[in-house]
Amino acid sequence: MSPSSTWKDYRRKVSGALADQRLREVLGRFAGDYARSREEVFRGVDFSRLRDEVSEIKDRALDDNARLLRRFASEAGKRGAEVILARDAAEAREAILRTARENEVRSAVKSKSMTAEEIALNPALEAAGIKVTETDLGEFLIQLRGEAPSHMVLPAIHLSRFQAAQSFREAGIPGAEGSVENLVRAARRRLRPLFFQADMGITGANFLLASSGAVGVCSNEGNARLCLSLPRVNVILAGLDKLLDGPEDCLPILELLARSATGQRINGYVTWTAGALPAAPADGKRRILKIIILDNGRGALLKDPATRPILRCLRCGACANVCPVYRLVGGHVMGDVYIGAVGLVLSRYLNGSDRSPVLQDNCLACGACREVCPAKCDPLRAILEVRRRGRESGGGSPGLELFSLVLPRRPLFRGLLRLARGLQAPYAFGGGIRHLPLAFARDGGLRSLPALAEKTFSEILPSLELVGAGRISCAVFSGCAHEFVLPGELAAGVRLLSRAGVQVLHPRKQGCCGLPAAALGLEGAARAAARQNVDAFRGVDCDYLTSLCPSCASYMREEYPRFFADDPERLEIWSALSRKIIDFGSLLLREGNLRGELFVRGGERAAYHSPCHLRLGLKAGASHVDLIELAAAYLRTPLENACCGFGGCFSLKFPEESRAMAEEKLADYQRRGAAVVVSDCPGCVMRLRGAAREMGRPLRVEHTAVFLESRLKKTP
Amino acid sequence: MEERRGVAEERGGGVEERRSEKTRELVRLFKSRAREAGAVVVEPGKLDGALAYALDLVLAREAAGVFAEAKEGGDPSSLVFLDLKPEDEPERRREMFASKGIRVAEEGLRKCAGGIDLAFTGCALGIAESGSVLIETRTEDLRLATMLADLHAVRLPKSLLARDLSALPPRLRRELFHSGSFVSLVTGPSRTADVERVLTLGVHGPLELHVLLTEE
Ligand code: SF4
Ligand code: SF4
Repeated sequence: MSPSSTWKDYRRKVSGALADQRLREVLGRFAGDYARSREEVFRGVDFSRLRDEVSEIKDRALDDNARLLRRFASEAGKRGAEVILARDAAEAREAILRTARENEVRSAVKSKSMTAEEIALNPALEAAGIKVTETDLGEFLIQLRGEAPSHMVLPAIHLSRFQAAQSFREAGIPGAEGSVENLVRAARRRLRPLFFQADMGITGANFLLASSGAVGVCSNEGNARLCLSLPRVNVILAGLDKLLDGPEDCLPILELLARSATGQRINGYVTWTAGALPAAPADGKRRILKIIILDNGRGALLKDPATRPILRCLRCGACANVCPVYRLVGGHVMGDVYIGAVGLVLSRYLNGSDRSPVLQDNCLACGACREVCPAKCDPLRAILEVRRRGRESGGGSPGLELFSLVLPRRPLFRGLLRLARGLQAPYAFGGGIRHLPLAFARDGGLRSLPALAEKTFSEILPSLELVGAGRISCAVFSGCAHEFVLPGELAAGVRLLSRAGVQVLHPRKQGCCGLPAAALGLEGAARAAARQNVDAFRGVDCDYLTSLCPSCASYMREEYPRFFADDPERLEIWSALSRKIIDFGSLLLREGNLRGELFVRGGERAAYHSPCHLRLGLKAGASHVDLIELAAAYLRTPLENACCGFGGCFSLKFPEESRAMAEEKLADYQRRGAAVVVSDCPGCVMRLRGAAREMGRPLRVEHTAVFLESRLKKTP
Repeated sequence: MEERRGVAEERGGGVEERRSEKTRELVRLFKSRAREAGAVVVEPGKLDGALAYALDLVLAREAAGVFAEAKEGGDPSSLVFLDLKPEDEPERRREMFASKGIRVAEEGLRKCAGGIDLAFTGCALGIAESGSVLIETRTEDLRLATMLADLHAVRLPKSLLARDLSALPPRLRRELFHSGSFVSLVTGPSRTADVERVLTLGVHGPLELHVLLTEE
């Protein structure tokens, strides 16, 4: 399959998911419910301490993986189990098939195991004439329907009770109509005898405890316990990454796993079992227990420091639950076997490297997954890393290469943008042109984003008549959006600061922060941009460093140190500067000297859009609505924190998804009576404003700086 | 001498009091957390009370015409499993059920594919913060009983209540040392939210979990 047809297929899947109104409703409701129950169940729990513990435990176990594996095999062996290390999916399948042949297995029951899906076990068993039944209710349902799971924890979340009941009816399972309870009872009646009849039970595992060769399994339904207890042949299949040392290592994981997965305090059943269970009293045969430990790419992930943290993953699914892309299109589009943010990465490494070359682009880089992950996997970082590698191994397009050449060369960059401005008319589309640096990307579609401004911010700066010296000083990083597209926003911002006696410094040699390059996987260009900016700010004496774009600021703060790992001089300069970073809203609240009486207060209601990179990236913005209240009636809305769908290149690659996200928000704002939407990020402002225009909604969208500055009373 | 004993007694009394205050607090916490997870928690006194409670559960089901389905041999009368230690006077307790026409299974649970009506078992620990009980099952019959029963009544002496999960590792280490060990931390009845995320109890395991907090 050629990459472009893969890309087309993928886009078609995305469109299909977007058109599924019911799915969107289900996922939207789920996102809201999950956020609420998560908040509830974490009340009084020290999440950050526990997840530090979890990641330390996991790291320790990963460091020690080879020894733990040997110990596990020997302890489990002493207790009558056979441990098999499978290097890849084929070896794992073969080990299970061999076990089945040797023990004359004709039927098997399975409890939920993503690892079994990873190795495509069911088709292999069926091809060998073995009847396999999934016993987890959700898995059972999608097995009946021949579908793939759409969530790691709730595999049938895409189905309604009616669809489920219909599938039962078609499979000849009576009594499933009328209520979810009837459905559940019907499944109980159907599945119970199968546990007794099956020759083989196949189970996944959450923990492999080396000190005792024991296996730990979490479930809510209790099917894993039956699978482990009844059939005479037992297979437990788990990834290498599930090895831990002793039972104490399970505790912080148990504290976080169910809370993160479903907002429950703990899983209904956590079972630990060591060794083959004694034979059933009557049949006298020895019980067989095989534990298959799967590598399938994990060993390589383990050796690579950039991808290793992803092996801490507990498979809780939280990173899907909070992901704005998942919320919109669901799991059939967002991953392969593993779903959600972590799925975008694992689908690449564990399922054979090229099955999903386009998946990683379906991410807004909002950082929500990073925030909730109980094991500090930082899926976003891994996604960006995968993209980078994809480009390096030849996944770039001519546009991208041009981009990477141009970006670090500021005069060339400006020159090209000027040229683009000159050529604006032929490219114009709905009053806008291709967005900035992405204008160079070949597969960037035409979007209704604002056109380049007549004059750049640097060009209008001298005319702003700012105070020459102030009680404090603040260096400003403008960022591409404010430099080239919306310089008026930044001008309004610096005027507000200057009015409060803050001396504004704008080093001339600064350029793009490098985020778009990093997001596209163009590591060299991103590094060059970082160097250039640190050199531009070298020697600037300031109390603060601010940007009116939280995407630039959070990216620079988070990522720049990485580029200077072998450049101690720049690292030192940057560390000192980085400590001074403050987002514009917080700076205004602290130093802006703003009071309500300074503003002309209209009666209009103003809602807030919280940018992901401000809230999650810079961990700021909690009190920014105070700024709104200075000049208007602030209107609290439930979707305030929902992503606008911008995500830089995301909005170009997935225009429909991006638009759907913006539309959902705007519709809600309007329904609740907002006249203006205020936000702190030029990207969000452009996205929401563009969508409002496309949809003909009478909402105004303003950057906080403009919102405030335009409402200042004229001083006599 | 006299004086010193007095002080010691006073102190002893204080420790006792603090201990019982601590237990009361754990009981409160356990109850609220276990109930949140869908369990029924009662305080039936001692073993006698606990068994009487379990018997009532079965009789109430019978009165409502509810029985575990498809029993071995087609005998429709209720079938229970009682996990009793030799010092619990098991004969007398079984008789308590048998006299009401309830069958007591002692072994061969593997034949009970249709399930049993009630399992009465002990446990090794209760965890207050999560509302869970730790059930260690060295025999197959006990293990299957806790999975196949429609109702699971777990007797949890208050002295076995611990505050949080940190009480688990010593027990786990001891149990998992043995081959064929099988330990479950159970919180509430079997549940699923797989269909439309509607929480529904009793998908594979017990439909109801009753925790009987006893005084001994
Ligand atoms: S960064 Fe945001 S959009 Fe990307 S995977 Fe994580 S949650 Fe989803
Ligand atoms: S990456 Fe983190 S949040 Fe996502 S499934 Fe794994 S542990 Fe859960």
